[in-house]
Amino acid sequence: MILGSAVAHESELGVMGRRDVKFRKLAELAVRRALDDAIIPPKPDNRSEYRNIGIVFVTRTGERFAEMYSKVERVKATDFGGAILNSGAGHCAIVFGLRGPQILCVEGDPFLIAKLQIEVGRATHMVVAMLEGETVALAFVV
Amino acid sequence: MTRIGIYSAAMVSAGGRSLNRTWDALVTGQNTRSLSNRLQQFKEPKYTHMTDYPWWPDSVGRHLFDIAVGAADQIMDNDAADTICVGSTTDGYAELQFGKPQEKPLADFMADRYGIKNRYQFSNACASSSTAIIHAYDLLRTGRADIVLAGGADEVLSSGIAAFDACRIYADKCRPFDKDRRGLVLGEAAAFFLMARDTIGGRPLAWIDGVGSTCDAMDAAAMNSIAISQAIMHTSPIDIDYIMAHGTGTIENDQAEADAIRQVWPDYNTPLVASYKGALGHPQGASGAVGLALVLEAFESGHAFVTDIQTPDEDLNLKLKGQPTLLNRALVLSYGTWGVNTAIKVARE
Repeated sequence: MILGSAVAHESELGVMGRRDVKFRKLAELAVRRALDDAIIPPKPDNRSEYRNIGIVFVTRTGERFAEMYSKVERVKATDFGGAILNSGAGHCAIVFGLRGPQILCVEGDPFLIAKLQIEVGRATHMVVAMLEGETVALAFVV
Repeated sequence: MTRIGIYSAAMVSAGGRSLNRTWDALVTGQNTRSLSNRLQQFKEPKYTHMTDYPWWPDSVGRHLFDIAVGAADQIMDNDAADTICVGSTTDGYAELQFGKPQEKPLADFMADRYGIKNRYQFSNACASSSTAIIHAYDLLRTGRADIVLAGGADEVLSSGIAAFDACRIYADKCRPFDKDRRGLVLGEAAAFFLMARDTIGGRPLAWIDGVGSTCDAMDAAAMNSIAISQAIMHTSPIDIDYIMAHGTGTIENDQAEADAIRQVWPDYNTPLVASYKGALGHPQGASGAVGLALVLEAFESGHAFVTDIQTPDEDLNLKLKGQPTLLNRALVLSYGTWGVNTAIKVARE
């Protein structure tokens, strides 16, 4: 059952998005709204509360790839974190305290993956987030 | 209760073009890394800038696909599986190197080659292939697939080395659990398995008897031993004889991993712990699949692979030498950046 859903567009990021990493912030915004829509407080007082909430993130794009490639100067350790494909999933997990399974899906049905996590008892809720191109993020809570 | 079996296994690595050859190279103590000409290029001192790294413009995609099918071809015929689950990080590095992703994900390439309809690819950093194997286990356990080709593949790309180097964890030699460990060395490998429910009949190479997957949700890079131990605990690890650890040879990884193992086994009576990464390098997303393949070979030979350590780090308080009394159940651990922790429990009988 889909308990909450949300969309975020890059135009909503404003200054925050320009200063920080766009993909991550887009995903964070969409996930925050989806959690809110599902009436799950996005910032629990006790993070262990969300041990049973995981995230499936769909993308083939690393947020820092283009940046690192275009600079062609010294590679920075801070760039590397964003060059890992699951950086968006990890970022959302950290921000919202999602300690259930964290899955970065390049190919496949993310809703089936989320459903399986719940079915086998690994999670009670799953967040499904996806980036559409570089400008829109979608998020669902199932 | 339905059990999930591993009915075939195959691997290619710097140690050899098959699982048997890799195993032989490992147990005879060969310096397997030197068998790979590609890896020889990185014995030079550290590079400073990305532009200094040697690039292989024709490598990305072609080489990854080569090593992946080099392993999978050993166990696959057309229509032998209905689902494929692949873990790999190279898809991302390709974009780093060329500014765009590969035209086709590895899972699509392999599924088209073997006539497989259902396809999944995961990229959870160094836990990618473990995530793929866990997903295959879930699909089989819930009856959503009958035979799954599962595993992972990754190649060494200069961009990956540049990035690890920037993090100051790329070393000239990988020494897991050694007092003098300084960092990791990348390796390339692919390992694949045909997995099915026990109702298919026949004797499998081993059973997967439990899996665990947790997320630290704390830090992008720092590891959390509590979350790792929780992943281990999800596998009901009480009867484990042998642990194929993630063992990357970085100071932080080995310490956190040892802490997690001691949290599960509080006294010194821990299972034998090993890491193959000193010999084969760190195959990144293929780490879990390679570890699992080596455990299967250990079951087959009745002999556990033991890490070659010159000066064991006594502070880790792990059992790193000798052979287990029994070798019936093993744990394969792997973790990825951004807090992913996985554990797979394998049983011989």
